[in-house]
Amino acid sequence: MTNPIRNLGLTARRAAAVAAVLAALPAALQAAERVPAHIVLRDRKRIECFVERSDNAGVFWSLKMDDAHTVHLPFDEIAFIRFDPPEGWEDAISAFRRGDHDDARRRLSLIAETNKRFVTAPGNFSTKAQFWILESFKAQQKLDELSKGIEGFNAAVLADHERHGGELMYIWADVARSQWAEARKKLDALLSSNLDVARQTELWFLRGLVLARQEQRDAAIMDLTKVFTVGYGVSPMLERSALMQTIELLAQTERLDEARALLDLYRVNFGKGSLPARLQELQARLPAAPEAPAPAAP
Amino acid sequence: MFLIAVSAWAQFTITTEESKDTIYQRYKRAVGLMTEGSFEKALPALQEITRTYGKDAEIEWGPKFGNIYYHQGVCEAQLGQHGAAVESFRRCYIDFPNDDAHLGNRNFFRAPALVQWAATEQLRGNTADAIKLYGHALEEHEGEINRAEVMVNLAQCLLRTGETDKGRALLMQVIGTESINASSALRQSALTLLMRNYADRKEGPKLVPILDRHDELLRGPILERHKLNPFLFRIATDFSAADHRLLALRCMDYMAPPDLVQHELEERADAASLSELRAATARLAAFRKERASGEPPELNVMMAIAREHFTLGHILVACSAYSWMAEQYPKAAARPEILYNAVVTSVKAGFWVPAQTWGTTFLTEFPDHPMRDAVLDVLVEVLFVNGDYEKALEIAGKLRDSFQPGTPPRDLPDFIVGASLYQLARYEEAETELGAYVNGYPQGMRREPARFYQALTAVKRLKWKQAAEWLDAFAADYPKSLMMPAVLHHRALCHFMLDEFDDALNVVERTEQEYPDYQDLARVLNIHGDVLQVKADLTGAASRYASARERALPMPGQEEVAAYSLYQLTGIAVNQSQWDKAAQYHDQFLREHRDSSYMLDVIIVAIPALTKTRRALEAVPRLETFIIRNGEDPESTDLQKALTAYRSLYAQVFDQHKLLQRLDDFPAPKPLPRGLAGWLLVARIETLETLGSTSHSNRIEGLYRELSAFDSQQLANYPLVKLARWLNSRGETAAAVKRYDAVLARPPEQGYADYALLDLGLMEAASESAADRQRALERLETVLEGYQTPELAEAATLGIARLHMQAGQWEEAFPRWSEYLSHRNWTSARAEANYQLAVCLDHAGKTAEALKSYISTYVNFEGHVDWSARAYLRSAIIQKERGDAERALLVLDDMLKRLGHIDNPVIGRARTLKTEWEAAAATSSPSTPGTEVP
Repeated sequence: MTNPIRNLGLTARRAAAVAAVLAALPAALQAAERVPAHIVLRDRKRIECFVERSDNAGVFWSLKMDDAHTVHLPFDEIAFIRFDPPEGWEDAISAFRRGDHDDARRRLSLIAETNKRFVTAPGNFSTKAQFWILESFKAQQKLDELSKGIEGFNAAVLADHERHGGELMYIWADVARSQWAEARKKLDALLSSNLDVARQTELWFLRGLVLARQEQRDAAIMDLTKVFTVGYGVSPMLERSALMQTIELLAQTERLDEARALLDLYRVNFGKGSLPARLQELQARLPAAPEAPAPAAP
Repeated sequence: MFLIAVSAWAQFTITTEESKDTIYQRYKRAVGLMTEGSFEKALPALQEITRTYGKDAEIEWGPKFGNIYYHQGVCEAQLGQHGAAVESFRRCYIDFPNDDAHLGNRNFFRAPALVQWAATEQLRGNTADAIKLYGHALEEHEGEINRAEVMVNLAQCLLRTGETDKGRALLMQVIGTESINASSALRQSALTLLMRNYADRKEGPKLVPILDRHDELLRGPILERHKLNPFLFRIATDFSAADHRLLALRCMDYMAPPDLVQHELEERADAASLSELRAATARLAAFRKERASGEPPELNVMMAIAREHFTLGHILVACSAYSWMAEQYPKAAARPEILYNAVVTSVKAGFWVPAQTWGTTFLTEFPDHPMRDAVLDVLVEVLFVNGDYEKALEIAGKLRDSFQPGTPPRDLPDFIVGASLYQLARYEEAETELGAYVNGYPQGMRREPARFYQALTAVKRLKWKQAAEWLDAFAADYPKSLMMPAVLHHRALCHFMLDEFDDALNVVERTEQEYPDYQDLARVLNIHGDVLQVKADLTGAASRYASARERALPMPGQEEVAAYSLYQLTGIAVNQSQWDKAAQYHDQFLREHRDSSYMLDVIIVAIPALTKTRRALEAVPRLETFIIRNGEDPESTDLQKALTAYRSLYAQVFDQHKLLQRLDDFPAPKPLPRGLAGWLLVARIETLETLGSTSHSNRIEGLYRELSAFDSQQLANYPLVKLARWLNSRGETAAAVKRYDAVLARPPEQGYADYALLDLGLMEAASESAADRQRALERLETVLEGYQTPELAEAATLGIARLHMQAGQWEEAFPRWSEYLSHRNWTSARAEANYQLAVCLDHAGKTAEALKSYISTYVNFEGHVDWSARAYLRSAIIQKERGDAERALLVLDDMLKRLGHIDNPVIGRARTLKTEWEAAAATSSPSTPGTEVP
């Protein structure tokens, strides 16, 4: 077995030392069976251990399953904890990836309900399952359901790499509830922080929606168009939706030539040769493109 | 892919102990070496076996010996010995067939050897052979080979030899036929081969439905996608070059963004077990390092995407991308290109502020870049179009200094300088600059707008004739110009100002008919109304003003045009005594045009209507408000207009005494601004003068003294001229001249400079100094020719004529007197003019005509003794000189009979002459005819 305290930082060394001392003491009450986990510390060092439980301040862990005592490690020193996935997790995520959202949500709901033991710990699977349920609603753009599902969801206890996405769920819920000012405030704050392009892409999309609702159409266009230009490859779903919104905003602001040109882009690159009903209606309303002038005689 | 296996050899039937050991051990060692990748060590061992035992091996050893050739071929192929490899694979496949007779002795690698043979031929460029071999493999060995892989390879060969349809069909089978059971990787390979082929054949659009069905193969796990990035970017470039830009965009959209790759690697590192951690962390670190070195890898893709959108006419899309890149990549090697495109797309999108921002950034960061001039060109035009004329002027001014006047690079900046000066209302400089442009660039890029601005500059400088000439020339040279409606609009204005009312009417009617969508048509309709008013067609004028108003109201920026229309409608209603209507217009104006510059005019013009509708008092506080509001600025025309109307109204509603009381204690916050105080003094003086100056002369004098204590700068021109005249009348010439000079030092548009010139001219005309009189002559000429103020023309003409008479310049004086007499309403000096005209004729030797004029003088202006007496006397003398003594005496008799009672030296002289002539007549001796002109 790999030595779990090798190359650890001071915090981990200290914690491990305490755990070793406590292990030599008489056994205390065992609250529950401990589960194997990796505690990833903020400096990315990690402890391979067994976690017994978590409270609002931290987790209780031991180096060995049968150590007499556990060590309490506060959350402010922990980046997240990598637990082994619960039963049914892979199936749920597979269902999500193949687009079977009903099945995915059913499985995820079960996981969320039955894995609340470590719900205060970052990386716990109950919250993670909630997050993917919300992702599923988002993928289907069922925003009303998303806004209901956000109740009781705590993005702060997601793993590091999921936390940004989790925080975005609150904004999606604001959008679903038409709380534009609230959403705008959060979006402006996030966009002024130092996020990479992939993370900004969804923010641009959301702010574009909000700006359009706030009648700031030009600014909305500038945000939405970034989703399918500099945010290339991040999310085809967002790109498609951003392009549709952009076309509608261009039509509303009388930029008809560009709206017409982008209808082609939608049809060819996102619509499999056709347009959705909304854009078909818009296209029918657009006046015909002016005829190109005949080329001048040489 | 080559298959390596040692197990097949174990089934060899060993014939001798020696050969068993030798062949088995050597073969085992060789395969072991191959497994380690040491093909160069494995090959000699295998070659040794085939060299030693290969002869008649098919008989000696049976099919299983073919396995050795297969592995030898693999080694040879791996070491680039393709010819030898082909031979080894061929021998394996051809010389060692399996048959039912050797059930325990099988060549397990026969089918793979065939595939490898084909693959090696493919590698050697023997495509036709490869096609045959692959085809054979598919036909004869379906169950023994990786069919999908062979189909992909065969398709590649077919595509290479131009059998495109067959090759594409095979690839489509691999991608879309479930029964083939191709791996995702092979299906992805098949799809990328198809993409490559469609790109090479410039048939991109045919690929679109394939991508529609199968592009999930390009959207696999992010790290797999990342491997495709170079291929996708290359193929996007090829599609772009073939003008299949939507497809180019689509291909780039399949690319894995580096951020997502990094997220995935971070996530893997976080999720790694301790045993995997080192590798995962190293991979993440390597990726981060790669991203940090050199240009950000995503930037090229972003720029290509922005470029495609720009080319496709998605201007706002490109603008947002370029602008974002300009913000995010301050150190990019492509920054000049990014900034330039951010400027251009912002301009095209009409986003002026970002355009200026990026343009200025470019110029600051890359002052010597070759694209600098292109940016400047776009930028100055942007600044100009955006209305930032100060900045446009500054930048264009700097830019043009780098080039010779008249050269192409200086064309645009020279135009922008002139046009910006026009827009900044620096018309005098604009006139010079635009004139230089029009003259200096006969083939100039901006010649058309330059000539337009030049003509408009003349309009702004009130040079109506010059403007008319330029506008006509413009219309002749650019009849289809987009600026034609504006040209006609201003041409109509010139006609109007030059009193060419019929022509003005024609032009406005033409503008209305030909350019009904002209954005300033409301202004044209207002001119139409003005013309019809002049022609006394008030109903027609009202109709045009109403149309103008209707058109202007919804137009942004034309509030004043609509206000002017309503102002004129109010005036017309007053003129037509439609008091209620006029009052309603007035009320409407107050409601709807609270901030209009015509507010005061409307209040004033509506006073009769308010008076008739018993609402005159309403105007009093409004006028007082205007007076107080403008009190800080003594030169305000509004102040003067308001005060004049106020005095008239107040006197009308109350009386002059009440007005005087009001003016004495005007309800303005104290202390009064000096400008307003000066005006109020003048108002009080004039009110007192109206009441009768004799009873108020002391008070008037006191008020003038108060006024004279003002610094000239604190008084408007009107009070200054009024004060100067009073001072002059009091003989305080120097003090008067000081005030007049103050007036003349101000811009002429402040008014009353003509009065100052006239008064000074007349003062100087009375001087003994010839220089003063010459200056007087010049001043009076300026009044007459420069200002053409009708009410001053009489005095100026008279002054000039008198100066010429004083100087004995009869010839110069004659036309002035003629001019004077041609104006029947000029009455102040008609007797003098008649007499002096006669004198001029007299000096010109035109005695008969002179005589008529003398007679006309004393007949028509007998009471003007100064002139009639002289006319009588000179008439008599002329008769005497003609030898008609009797008639001469009769003239003197008549003169003395009519004027003899008046004490006048000329009359005295006439009396003396009469005595002499009568005496001479009595003695019949000739007498002196009296040659002097009286």
